[in-house]
Amino acid sequence: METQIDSETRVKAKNIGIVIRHAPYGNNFAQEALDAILTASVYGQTLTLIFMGDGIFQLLKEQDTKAIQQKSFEKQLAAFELYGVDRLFICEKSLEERGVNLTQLSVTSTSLNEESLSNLMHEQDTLLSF
Amino acid sequence: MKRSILHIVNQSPFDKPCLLQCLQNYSEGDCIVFLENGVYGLLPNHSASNDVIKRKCYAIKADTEARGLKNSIDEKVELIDFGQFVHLCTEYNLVQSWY
Repeated sequence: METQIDSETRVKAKNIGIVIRHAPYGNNFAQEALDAILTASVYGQTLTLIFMGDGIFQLLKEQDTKAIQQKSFEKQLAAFELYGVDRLFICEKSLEERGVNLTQLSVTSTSLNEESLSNLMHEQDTLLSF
Repeated sequence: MKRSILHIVNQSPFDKPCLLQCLQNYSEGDCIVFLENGVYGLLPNHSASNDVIKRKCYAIKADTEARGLKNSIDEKVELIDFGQFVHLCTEYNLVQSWY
């Protein structure tokens, strides 16, 4: 499948796995991931988002970032649906370790066991690590 | 279609969970390249040491030498330089960096 950007530029769609492992706000790895995701989706790529380890914290509800003056992840993630980014997967074990359950998350995602998550990673055309 | 992953670990397992997360996502046909502080993961005395040595492992020689680990690393681990590292990356479908 190809997407036409302008009269000259055609981009082939690849299956890109975005592996998200860092908590939000403490450093900028998490924000870089969101920026890459939106850019890639604008260019018609097929994105699979894989949240594991502390990355799951990006999905918590009720993030109020006014006092730390950073863009809220909750708000940015809400925009994903508009961009057609709807393949979100989350590591079951990482949720359990951190005492978080799916009802506490602000976006719809599918929780997977370790084996399924690993298989998902191995099926992509490219992996981006954040 | 199942592809092979070249995993990169640059953090010490005594400090960060990166190596453990890497091992959880390791499949037959993958390999692990240890560099920078990741080379401490090749010491034989941490909780995942037995798992590590069952996998296909490479380490950046310069990083093991710098840290005085040359004699503590199992012979099975292939010591490589950056040129060989680059070449290795072209031999795998996917690269995943655990930092």
